Parts: sequence; structure tokens; C-alpha cells
Amino acid sequence: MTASERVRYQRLPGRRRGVIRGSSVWLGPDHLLLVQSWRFREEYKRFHLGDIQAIAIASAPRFHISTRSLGIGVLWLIGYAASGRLGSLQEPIVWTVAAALVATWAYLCASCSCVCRIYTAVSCDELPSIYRTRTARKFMRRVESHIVAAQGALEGDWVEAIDDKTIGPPEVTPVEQPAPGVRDAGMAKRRSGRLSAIFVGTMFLDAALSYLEKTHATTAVMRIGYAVMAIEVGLSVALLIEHYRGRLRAGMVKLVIASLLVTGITWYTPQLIASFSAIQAASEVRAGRPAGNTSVFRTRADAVIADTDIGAHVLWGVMGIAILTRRQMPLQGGAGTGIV
Amino acid sequence: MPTKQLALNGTADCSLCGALNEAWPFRAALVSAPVAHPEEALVGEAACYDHPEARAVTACQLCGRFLCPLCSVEIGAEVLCPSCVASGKVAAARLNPSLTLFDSIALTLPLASLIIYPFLVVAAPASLVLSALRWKKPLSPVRRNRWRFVVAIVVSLIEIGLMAWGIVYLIAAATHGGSNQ
Repeated sequence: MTASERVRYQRLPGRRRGVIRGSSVWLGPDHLLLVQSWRFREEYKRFHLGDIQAIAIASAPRFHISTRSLGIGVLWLIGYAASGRLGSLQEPIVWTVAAALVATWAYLCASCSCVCRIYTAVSCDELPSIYRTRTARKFMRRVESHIVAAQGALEGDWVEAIDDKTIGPPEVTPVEQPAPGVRDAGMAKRRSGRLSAIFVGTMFLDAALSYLEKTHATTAVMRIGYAVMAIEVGLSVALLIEHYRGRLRAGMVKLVIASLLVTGITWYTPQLIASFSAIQAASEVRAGRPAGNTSVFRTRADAVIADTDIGAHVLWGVMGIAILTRRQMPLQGGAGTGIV
Repeated sequence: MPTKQLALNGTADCSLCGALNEAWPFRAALVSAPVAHPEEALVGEAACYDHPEARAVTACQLCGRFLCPLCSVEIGAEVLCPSCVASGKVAAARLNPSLTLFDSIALTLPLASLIIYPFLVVAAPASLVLSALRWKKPLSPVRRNRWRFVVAIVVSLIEIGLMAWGIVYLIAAATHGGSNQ
């Protein structure tokens, strides 16, 4: 092992733990190390303390679902599944807990979140591990003294001096390239905005229809439900194309993927359970036993899936409104993102 | 961002989106980045390996090539030439922008094969071999311990043990069944 490999790093406040992606920032002897992991791979980026021009924290909503929040969600789901056995009295408590958990998460994501960017003369990079304002301040308290020790403190009238300079990489004017067949870039943007709004609308419509299907399951309601689901999938594809063309808000694409995942799970899981139940029932009948237990399990599982579907669509709808109503963040990293 | 407001409060509203920003400017913001200007090599002077017209100022500490300021790559205390850096001869963990996490792979193999059980026969021994081969190799600049390898080895050994027991049990049952008849 070489000397450079034995560099000791101290973990800095803030850690992003996602299902697939993770991120953390570490302090080395003369640099900060940004580690971004993709389950089986880690990518590193180093920022020498002497090169850091500024660190900026901008308040912004961050709807990140961490593995910790997923764990809490799974615990709640277990509690919900168990509440059926405990009796109907427990159900309101379980739903109140769910509402409180979602409200806390939404509050943290909307009001206590931020985007943290680090600027050098040639780069502007986001630190994904720092997405809560409190953590960002803690991070700054740890890092500031090290950077000042490496560079020296700002002295004299730095405000006047800094006014003439641009922090971050030099400004590059982006060349607007309208999509083929679309003359006006503004028109294309409006179209993607309209698509997003319709998509968010279908989230609520889907939730309402799923609720109707649960309470008044008629053929007409089910057919409308299938039609809305088909529209929802079509809109998702259209929005993914808009994302590919670079005309979609950052959060919207995550919402589209999440809704497609939920739709896929709620569509295929009942079918899988039905197949499993049918096989189980057949084997029970062959063995000469009554096949009652599997149907009870199937009914309970269907109810859980239906409730999850309704809850998820309402949540996606609320998040969609939040994304649509929030002002567009102009800074997306890379060149041309100077802060002063 | 309005700098005066920033200097007074440490916070400033973004002039574009209105979001509240906190910013910490540092001294490097006032310093212009140094630009490498290689000097012309005169007759009899050492010249850069890649730029024969430029005067050499240093030599690569690995291959010894003469380098002009433009070609010298400083990595910590070492000065290297771009080709040595590109060839990967130097401290891999320090230079590599990415690494494969073999300990995570070794841990996932036996655990994932519990769900996709037909792969257990291959996954458990593969995890053992991977753990043994990669045990002494550097993991990542920030990972200090090898608990994933340890768990992977333990889980793989249990799985292999259970598989062996299952095979022995089946053979014994078949032999017993055969001898009883």
C-alpha cells in the first residue's frame, strides 16, 4: 500500500443514503473528498482546500427518500398489516401515525432542506450528501476553519474586491437549441408544463378511482380506472421524452419514475398473489383440505395494495403540485454558474 | 447574489429565484489562478519531452522524462508526466476517480441468492473466492474495515455447509430407501 493510499479521512456531517445512490463528504489532510456511490461502485472528486472559492447553501425543497425513511415506511406497513389481526380499533391509530410520518417528512423536505454547492475557479459542484439546512451549517462549522487555515482569512474590503470577480467557473452563455419540429423554445417549455400539470391531475384522479373501486366496484368504474392508468403511463412516457430533451423540471422526472414503479407494483403484485393463491388452493383441494386460508390472505393483501396505491398517488399528487408551484432553480452545476 | 447584503448578514436572497442563500466566500475567490507559460528552450538547454521548443523545468519522478510547466502534473509531493498518470502506474486509490466495491459485491452475492435460490450453488463459492482474492487489496479511500467480507464469508460458509448437508442427507435417504427395499 502506498503512502497516498493511507490518507486518513474524517467523515464530515451529512450523508445521503438512497436505495441505489449514496453520497458523503470526507476531510483529508489538504482536501475534501466527495464520495458518490452506486451500490457496487464509488466515484471520487477532490477539492483542495486552497482552491475552494466559496461554499453556498441555497434553501430549496428536496424530496429525497432515504433508506432510513424507507425503513420507517416498511415498519409502518408491518404495523398496518398487523392491525387487521388486532381489531378495527387499531386502524385509526395506524392511519394517524402514517399521516404524522408523511407530514413530518413533507415538512422536512419542503422547509428544512437546501442545496449545497462548492465553487472553485474551474468547477461548481453540488454536494448531494448535504441536503438539510441544519446539517449544512454543521458541515460549514467543521470545514470553514480548515479552509481558512489553508488559504488565510479574507481581509480588508473584500466586498469591493469580490464585486469585480465571478466566483466559480467562467460564465458560458448556453445556446438554446429548440427541439426539431418546435420553432419556439418557450412554446416547448409551456407544452412540457401542461403535460406535467395533466400528469399531476391524473395522480389525484387515479387515487379517487382506486378508492371508488375499493368501495363501489362496478364494471364502469374499473374500466375508467384502466383507461386512466393507460393515460398515466402514456403521460409518463411523454414526460420522460421531455426529460430526454432537457425540458422537464428536475423533481418531475423522479415523480414519473416513482409513479411508474408504484403502478407496476400495484398492477403485477395482485396478479402474482392470485396465481400463488390459485396454486395453493389447488394443492389444498388435492390434499383433501378446505382452501379457505389462501383467499383470506389474498383479500387482505389486495386491500393493503389498494390502500398503498391510493396513498402513493395522493402523495405523488401533492409532491407534483409542490414541484409545479416552486420557482425554477437556475443553478444546475457545471460551467456558467458563478454566484457573484 | 448581492455581495453587500452577503457581507453584512452572511445570507442573501438570490436575485434570480428569490431563494435564501447562505454563502461563505474564501480567499481563493480573490486570487487569479496561475497560468502555466512554458519558456522557450535555448540551444543547449534541456527541452520538454512532448514540447521540444519549451524549456524543461522538472523531470517525471517515475519515468524521468523532462517536463515543461504545462506537462508537469503535481500529485501531492510527486511530479509526474501525463503519460505516467494515464498509464495508472501511480497510487491507484489516490488518482482513480472511481473504484469497484468488491466487498459489497461479495456480500450481495450470497444474500441475493437466498431470494433467487437456484444461483446459490454458484453465488456462495463465488463470494468466498472473491473475498479471498480481494481481502488484501485496498477497498476504497474511505472504507477502513472489512466487515462486509467477513459477513460474506460467514454467510457463504453457512450456505455451502447447508448445501453439503442437504446433498449428504439426500444421498443417505436414497441409500437407506434402496437398502430397505
